[in-house]
Amino acid sequence: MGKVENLALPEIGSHMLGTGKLPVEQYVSQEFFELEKEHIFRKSWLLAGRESDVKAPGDYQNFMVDTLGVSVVIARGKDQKLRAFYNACTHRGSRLVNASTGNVRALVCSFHGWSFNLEGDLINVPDAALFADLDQKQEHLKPIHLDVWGGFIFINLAQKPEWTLREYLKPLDDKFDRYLGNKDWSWSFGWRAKFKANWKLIVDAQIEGYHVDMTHRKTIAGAIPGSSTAAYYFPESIGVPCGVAAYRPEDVSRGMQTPINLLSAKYGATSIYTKPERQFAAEGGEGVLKEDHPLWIFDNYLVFPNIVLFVQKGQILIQRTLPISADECIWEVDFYHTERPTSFGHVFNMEQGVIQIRDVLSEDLYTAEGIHANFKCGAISHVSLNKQEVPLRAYYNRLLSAIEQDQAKEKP
Amino acid sequence: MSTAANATQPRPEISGLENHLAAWGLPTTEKRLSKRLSSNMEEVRSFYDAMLPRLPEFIEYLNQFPLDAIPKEAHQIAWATLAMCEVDNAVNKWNNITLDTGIDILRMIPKKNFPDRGQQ
Repeated sequence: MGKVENLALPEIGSHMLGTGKLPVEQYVSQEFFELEKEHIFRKSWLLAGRESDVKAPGDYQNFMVDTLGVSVVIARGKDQKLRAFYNACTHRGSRLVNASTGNVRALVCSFHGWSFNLEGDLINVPDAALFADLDQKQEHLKPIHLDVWGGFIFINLAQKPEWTLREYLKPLDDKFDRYLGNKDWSWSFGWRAKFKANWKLIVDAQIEGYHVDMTHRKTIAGAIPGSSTAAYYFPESIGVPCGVAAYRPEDVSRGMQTPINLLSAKYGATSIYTKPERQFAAEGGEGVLKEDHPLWIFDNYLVFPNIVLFVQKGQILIQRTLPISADECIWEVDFYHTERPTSFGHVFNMEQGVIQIRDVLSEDLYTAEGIHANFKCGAISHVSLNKQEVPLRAYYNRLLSAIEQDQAKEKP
Repeated sequence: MSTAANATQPRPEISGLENHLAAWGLPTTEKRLSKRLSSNMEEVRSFYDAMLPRLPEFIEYLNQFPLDAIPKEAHQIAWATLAMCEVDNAVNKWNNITLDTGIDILRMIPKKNFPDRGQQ
C-alpha cells in the first residue's frame, strides 16, 4: 500500500450549488415532461449505439426514442460512412426496418416496395410511371445528425444541433475518445427492464455515493463505503454535468468477502467489489484512469440527459434510461470488456462478477417506483440533498438551463 | 494451453455429489437462477456445503482445457461450479432465497447485444 498522502481521497462533495431543498414537479408534471420532450430529447445528443455493432457496409441498427415515437435507422453505407435516418418510407410513412439489427443491401419498404440505398437515396419505385410527377431526388430519407465519440454512436434530432458532440461532451476529451474507442472493447452482457417511474429517478440513483452503505447493505456495503465515493460537478459543461469517483476502503478487510468471491478473484477482475489478484488488461487509459491512486476503482459520468457512463480499467458499464411517458421508462445496462475469457477459471470469475453486479443493480433500481408514487400523490413536494448528493443539483440545474436556453432561442 | 488429449489431471471423483450435480449442473445463468428461486434454503445450503470444499479442485481440473474443448462428461461439473456463484449471496449474505431489498430479479431481462430491445 502506498504512502498515507497517496491514500487521501478527494473531497466527498460540495455545497457550492446551494443547500436548499429541491422541488419534485419535474418528475411528475405532465407539462414539464412536454418541455423535456421538446427541448431535451429533440435537442440533446443521445447515445444510440456502438460503432462496432454496425461494422460492415449494409449493417444497420434501430434506435427508438420511445416517448417521441421516433424510430431511427443507423446504417453503414458502401462508402463506410455511418448515417442516421428516420425509419420512415417517404412514400406513405411506413417503417422501413423492424428488427433491432441486421444487414441489408438496400432499405426496402415492405408496404409497396420503395427502396433506398444506404445513403438514403430513393433508388427504386415499383411501377414508377403510375405516379404523375414523382421527383425521386426529392424523396430522400429524412436524415438525422450523427457523430461518433469513444466508439459510441450519438444522434441529435435537432434540425441544426446547437453544439458539436465534442463541445457537448467536454470535459470528457480526446483521451476519453481514444480509451473508450479502443477496438478491443467488446460487449459482454447486459439487462433491460421497464419501470413505472419517471426516467430521471433511475438516473438519480446512480449518481451519488450517499446511498451505498444502506441500499447495498445486503450485497457490497463496506467493499465500497459511501465515505469513499466522491461527488463532483462540471458547471461549465453542456452535456456532462457531474460525476462520481469510487475508491476502495483503506482497510481492505472491510466488506464481506465470501469464499466464492475470494476464489473467483484468483482468476479474473470482473467483480469490482473484490480486490482482484489480477487486473483487467487495458491499453491507452492515460488521462482517463486514475491509476496513480492505489484505491481508485471507477468514475461514473452523467452524460446528459439519460446516460450514466462508468469507466474503469478494462471495463465500461453504460446505463441508459429513456422515458416512455412521464410515469414510465425503459432502463438498460451494458458491459464492455477488453478481454474475453480464455479459461474456465476466468469464466467462473466472470459469472461471479455478472451475478454480483446484477444483484447490486436490483437494489439500485428498487426505490424509483416508490419515490415516483410518493411524488405523484403529493406525499412529498421537496427533497433534501447533502453535499455528497451535489450531482443531483448539477443534474437539476442542467435540466432547467437546457430547457430555458432552448426556449429563449425560439423566441423571436 | 493443454488440450483434452494431453490433460494431465484426471476427472475429479464425484461420488456422493451426483444428485447435486444433476440438480444444479444447468447450462445457463438463467436456468441456474430459476433453480435457486424454486429451491428452499435447506436445498441451497446442502448444495453449497457439499460443493464448496471441492471447488478449487474442480476449477483447476477444468482449467486444463481450452474453453471449447471441455469434455462433455465434465459439463455438469462446470455448470454446477458456476451455480455456486448463483447461490453465494443467498447462503453467505441473505440467509434467504431472494434478496428482499431489490426488485424482483426476473424483471431484469438479459440482453443479447447492445441494441437488443426485444420485440418492439
